[in-house]
Amino acid sequence: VNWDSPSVVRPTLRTWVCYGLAGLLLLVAVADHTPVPLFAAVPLLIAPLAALLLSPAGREPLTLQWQEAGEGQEVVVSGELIPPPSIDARDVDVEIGVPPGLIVTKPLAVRPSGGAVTFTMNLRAREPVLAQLARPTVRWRDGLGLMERPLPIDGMPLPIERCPLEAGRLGTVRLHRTIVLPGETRSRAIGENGDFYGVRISLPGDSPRRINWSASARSEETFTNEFSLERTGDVLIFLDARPTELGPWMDARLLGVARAAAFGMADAFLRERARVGLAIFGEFLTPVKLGGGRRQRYRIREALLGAEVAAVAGPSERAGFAARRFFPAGITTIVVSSLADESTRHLVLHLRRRGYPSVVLSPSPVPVADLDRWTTGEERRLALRLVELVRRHQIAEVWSEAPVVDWRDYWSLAGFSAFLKQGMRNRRTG
Amino acid sequence: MTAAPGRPYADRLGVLPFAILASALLLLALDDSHGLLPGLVVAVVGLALSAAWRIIGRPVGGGVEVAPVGAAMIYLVLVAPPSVVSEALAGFAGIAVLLWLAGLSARSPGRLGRALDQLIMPMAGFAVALGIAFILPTGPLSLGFASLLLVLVVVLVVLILARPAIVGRREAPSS
Repeated sequence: VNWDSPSVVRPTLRTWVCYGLAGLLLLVAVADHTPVPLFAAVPLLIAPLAALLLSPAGREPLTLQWQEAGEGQEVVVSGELIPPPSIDARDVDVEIGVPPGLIVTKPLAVRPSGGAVTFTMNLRAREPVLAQLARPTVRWRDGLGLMERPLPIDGMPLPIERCPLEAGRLGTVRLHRTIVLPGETRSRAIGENGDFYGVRISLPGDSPRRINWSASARSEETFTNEFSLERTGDVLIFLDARPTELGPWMDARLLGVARAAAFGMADAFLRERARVGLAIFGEFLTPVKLGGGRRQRYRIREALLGAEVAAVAGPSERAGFAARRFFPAGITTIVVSSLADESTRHLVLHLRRRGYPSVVLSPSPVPVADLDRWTTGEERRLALRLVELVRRHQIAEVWSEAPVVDWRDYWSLAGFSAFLKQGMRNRRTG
Repeated sequence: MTAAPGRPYADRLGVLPFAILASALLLLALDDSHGLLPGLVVAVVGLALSAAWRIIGRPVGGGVEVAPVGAAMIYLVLVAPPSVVSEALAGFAGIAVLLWLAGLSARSPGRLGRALDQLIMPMAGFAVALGIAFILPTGPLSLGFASLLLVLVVVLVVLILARPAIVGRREAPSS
């Protein structure tokens, strides 16, 4: 029997509590030769049967419509579930799982109204977060909670994107065209998209919608419009998802911040019509090849949503040569890594050796460091100072290979944005 | 997310169903053949323990916290003298336990009405049982007959629950 089948009505623990109590009443009635316990047992025995009889038939899914709102760190999730006519909205029980990085500030409130079930829940993003709320778990449950049945839902998961504030401005950084020998030429694609570029004689296969009828009328040839799509360049976002000495909890938290930053940057560059690639390096490299447009944004988001701290750290050399299989050398590379241990610091070295000029955005573990184990203020100050020194040393080591931005205020990328713009300007003029 | 961590005590307890349960048990305690005090003590202790379990204890779910009040109810119906009043009060206590078990609160609007709707069938069953008790002469034969009926119901329910395919309704998939 498939207990997860949506057509199976299952007894809850309450049913067994009812029958346990009824069984005991029955026993004492027989043992003591008294009929009074039997009368107490009757409702307890009949109620689950009544619940069973009331269970709805059919496997039609509930329609889910939900959205998120709120500014900054606040996330307000609201929506409604529309059950089929065979299901009473009052019997619908809703549960929503909250992904890590989000804190519940106002618990889920479910309210049947008319034929639908409306719900609302307030969350707060502790740090920048890129997450997805899975579709709610919805059950039919009778009024007494004795029987339940999982209900299928027709709807999509809800993406939640809370990126650092200045990430949107990063797109204005002037990137460079990627060729075998990196140069200063801006990339240009002539095709069906972009601004008007010129006309040419039509060729077989051209869309009739692109025919320039005015120009064609003035000559005996048919002319086709051409459009020019200017790209500012190509950029590779390299996300280090390897485990470090910080431990799984800190690694997961820093990766969550890094994912949000990576998505914010990718979104900004894509809006400026740049081509963006993504590489997630755990044990192996997971690439999203260079591309542009909304479809690429979706691909990158899906890849980032699936990114988790790897169980085993892949060697840094692997990152370099695996990247060459998917991305051209010379491409502007933004490495997002905590730089918390030696192997992550080697990553930049190997990327540079393989021809990827890198800039490192390093989410600092200091703001999320757990220093509560040091009870006194003096001990805590000392511990913080040591942590700061170690961090400074780590960054100094990587600076010899690539410029590093120590990212401490997770909600702001202003420092990184300014650094990137300054760096690119220097490169262009120098 | 249904079990909100910060719910107020009254919400966790379910004031109205608990008041109904308390009144049922206290009325049953008044009918105690051993005197007023033991019944009242057992009822109050059972109610207090169950209420504390639900309010303070971690939300186990499934209504396991009904155990103390269930034990108190078993004692009270056992010591109650066989009479129509005792039998009526026992049935009322059973229904009250069901209502409190449902874990209803002011935060689940509409559920209370729905639960009351669903209690119609158990109440009807109880009314039939009480009516039969009037008709049949009191004695070991009628007790045995009633017990047999109850055992049959239990067997039937266990059979249905053990074979969910009977319950699962296979329908043509909707287009």
